[in-house]
Amino acid sequence: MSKMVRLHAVQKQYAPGRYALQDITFELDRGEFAYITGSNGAGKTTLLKVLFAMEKVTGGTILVNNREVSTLPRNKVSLFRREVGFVFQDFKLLPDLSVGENVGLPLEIRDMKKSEIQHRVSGALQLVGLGDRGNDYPGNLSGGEQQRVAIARSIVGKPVLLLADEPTGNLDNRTAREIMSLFNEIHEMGTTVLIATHDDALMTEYPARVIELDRGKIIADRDAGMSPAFGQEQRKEF
Amino acid sequence: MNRSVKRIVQDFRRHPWIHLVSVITLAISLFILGGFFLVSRNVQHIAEAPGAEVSGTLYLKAGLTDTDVNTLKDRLQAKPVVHTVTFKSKASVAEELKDFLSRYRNEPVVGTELFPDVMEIQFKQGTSNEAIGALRVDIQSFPEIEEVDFSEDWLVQYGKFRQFAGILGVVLMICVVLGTSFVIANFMGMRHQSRREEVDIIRLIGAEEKFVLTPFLMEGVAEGILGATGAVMGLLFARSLMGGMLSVQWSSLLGIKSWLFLSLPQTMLVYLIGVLMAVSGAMVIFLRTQERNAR
Repeated sequence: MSKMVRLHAVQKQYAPGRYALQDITFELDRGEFAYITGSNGAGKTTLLKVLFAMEKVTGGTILVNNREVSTLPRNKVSLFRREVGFVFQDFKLLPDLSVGENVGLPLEIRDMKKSEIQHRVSGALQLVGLGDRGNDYPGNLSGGEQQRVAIARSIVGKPVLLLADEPTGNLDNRTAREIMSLFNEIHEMGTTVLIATHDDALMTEYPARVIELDRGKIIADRDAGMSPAFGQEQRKEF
Repeated sequence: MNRSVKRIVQDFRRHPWIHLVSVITLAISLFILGGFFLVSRNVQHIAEAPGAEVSGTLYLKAGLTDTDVNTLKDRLQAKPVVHTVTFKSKASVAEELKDFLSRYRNEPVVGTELFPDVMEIQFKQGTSNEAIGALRVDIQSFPEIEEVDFSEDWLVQYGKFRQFAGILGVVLMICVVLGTSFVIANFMGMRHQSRREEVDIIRLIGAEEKFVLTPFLMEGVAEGILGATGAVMGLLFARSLMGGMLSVQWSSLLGIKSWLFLSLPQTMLVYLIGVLMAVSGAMVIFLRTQERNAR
């Protein structure tokens, strides 16, 4: 199976001796679902940021969908980001745009026809269960609904890879489960999904491969269904 | 292009106060600048008005007969640089003075019996200072004339003043443009804070720089045009107020019937500077967001 993500010896150093990521090497298959986990400061967010070309690595190589991200010139970053969806913990919705306008923004950026935008926005909102809230504004929605809008925005452009940084971090348990179900649904539609989280309960309820980080290094990489202790022993060699 | 226009209209609706303050700041700055142009143009207008041409007053000796006066008038009128010659008897001069003073107070004017008869000369337009100087020497030798008072000295001083005012004006204009640009740049900095998150999010979902920049530039152009229009309207209003004042007292004194408005090139310059200032401010915001996003 061809690989969607390939990281080899990736390093991110903020200052001499201060590593956010060290020797990160792993691969994700196309259509795979995986978690990145670890305690606060382990490097989860930094890893997602380098995958999304929000930060440059100081060493190693990153291939996403066969595109070299670590050396991507600045003028190509925007085009690359259209292939990858990103769901932020704080949603990053534009408060002055309606739900429909927020979701349609990635398509407007691509200069799509209005009718096509409407069609795809409607489909994405239906998928996240907000088909009738297109004219509402983010301020009128609950946290869970706002996260659904953010997910709809991230998938409306049909990305090959969906990254999510603590997408349930600001949500209650019930809403968090609804959001995880949604990610599962998106994954079942064929999208590769990589979620950064430290919520063990959710990872147990929605089992998938888990890549565990600690102080910028991978300390475990276990397949779905393996216990954390088992995963430690089964750490993959690259 | 349509989408950019739509986004700008949406943004003006969403943040009306930010845009309003921005337009008002520009309008005030351009009003000051346009006001300078307006003053400069009208000073020039006054200088070029027929009433401000060199004129002269000849104080006649006492005891001249009507024949003497008429002969003198004909001799003066025959001079090639003279346009008109008007005789005013001491009585009419005193009467004019009484009329003038009675507008302000009702007290008798004393000492009018000491006034001499006078002849007022108006020179032809474009008469050089040299020709006027030569005529002064010529006229001073006339036996009927006691004293000659020409205004060419004032004009020489006025010419020097205009030269000085021109230099001062350029310096002032540069100061005004720099000062207002500073105010606008700071204001744009505040606006940048309010737009930063929006721009960051748009970039994160894959917007190219063109998509981010275009609305900023078009907003700048729109604000520049609106600000300049506000300034021009304000200047028109100021001119109409000044016009009322002119018609009452100053018209005859300054020799002009109305104040001029900005010339077409000056008006276009006000618009151009407005658009440039607003676009520069918009570019400052854009570049600041770009710095932040530099990876």
